[in-house]
Amino acid sequence: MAALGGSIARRYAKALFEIGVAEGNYEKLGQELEDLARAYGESAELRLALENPMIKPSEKTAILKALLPRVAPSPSVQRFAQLLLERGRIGLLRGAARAYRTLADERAGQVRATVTSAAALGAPELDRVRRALEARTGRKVIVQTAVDPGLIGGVVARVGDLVLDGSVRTQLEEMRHRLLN
Amino acid sequence: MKRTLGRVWLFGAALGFALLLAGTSARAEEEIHGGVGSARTDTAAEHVEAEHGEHEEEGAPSIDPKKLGLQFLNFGVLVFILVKFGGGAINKMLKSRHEQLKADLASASELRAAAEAKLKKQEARLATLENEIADMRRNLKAEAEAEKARLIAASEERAARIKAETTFLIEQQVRDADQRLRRESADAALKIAEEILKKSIGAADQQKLLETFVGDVERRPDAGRAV
Repeated sequence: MAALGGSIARRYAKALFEIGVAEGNYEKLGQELEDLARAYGESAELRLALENPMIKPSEKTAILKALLPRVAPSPSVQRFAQLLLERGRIGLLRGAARAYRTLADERAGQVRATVTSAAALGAPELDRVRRALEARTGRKVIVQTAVDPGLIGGVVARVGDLVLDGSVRTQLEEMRHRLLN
Repeated sequence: MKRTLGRVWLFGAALGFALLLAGTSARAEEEIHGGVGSARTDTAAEHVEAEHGEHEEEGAPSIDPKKLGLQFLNFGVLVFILVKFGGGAINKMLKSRHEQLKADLASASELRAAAEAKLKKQEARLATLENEIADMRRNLKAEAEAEKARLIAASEERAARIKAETTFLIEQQVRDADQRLRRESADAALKIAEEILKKSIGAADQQKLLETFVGDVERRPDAGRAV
């Protein structure tokens, strides 16, 4: 079911992305779509109002119209959000934003990476990791960071479907596996 | 049957005639001895006593030839009647009796032969009975030995199977215990290592780990795994 939702979200995202490419503002549309998806994900009241079948569609439309000018001023993004609401697909908003970002990154020749470390990394360390990842993927890498003390030490980087694990936690697990076998 | 009855009737009639003849001769004798019959009747007791006295006086009875001759005649008539009229029936009866006795003797002889044959058979069987008993004893012993061997073989086979199963179970339990011990040892060792690392890893170590990670990413194309 999630895979089906992801596929549908990608189709909607691709449609908006093609509009943005045609208009020459796909990066701006992508940013507005991400802002809208973040606002939707962070507000439980907004999700409840827009996904509740007991609330009339006209009321939902009014709520969305009140929100959109502040978060997504572009008419294309507003029409996109209204279309999702009318089709009962407003719950796919966050998935559509992720798919749009992937499409935009591919077009820009860049990839996003999540770098998780046991302790917060400084800018020089992050830059070293970014350069190493760019060398590995051959593409520009946009790094997002996260901290997980459970790693004990080291770094875990996830680039698309690829995971590069240099954490102490994983090394301990490998040692345990070797001891048992 | 009818003829036989006729003969018997004739035999009876002849016998009656003979007895009548004998009675007539007896009366004639009395008349010769006693004179007038009625007169002697009146004095019968006296005559008897007198005669008795005479006999005691004389000592032995006298033989009257005439009376004896009549008695012989009487006997001869009786023999004639018996031979003439009863001889056939008696002969026939004797012959029938003879045949019956012969048949009984033959039957008895056959029974005796059969009994003797049976006796011989029983004696022969008795003679071989010891051998039969010995054979039965040998057969029973052989069967008992065979059963004993079969039971021993079955018991040994079962014991071997139980031993193999037990050995397998023991080995399995040893393997499980070994695995469990290894797992527990590994968990304990890693837990201790984790605690030590958490306490001892500092900024310099984190920097070194980062350098190692970057080096691996840059130098090892096979580093990392797809998810």
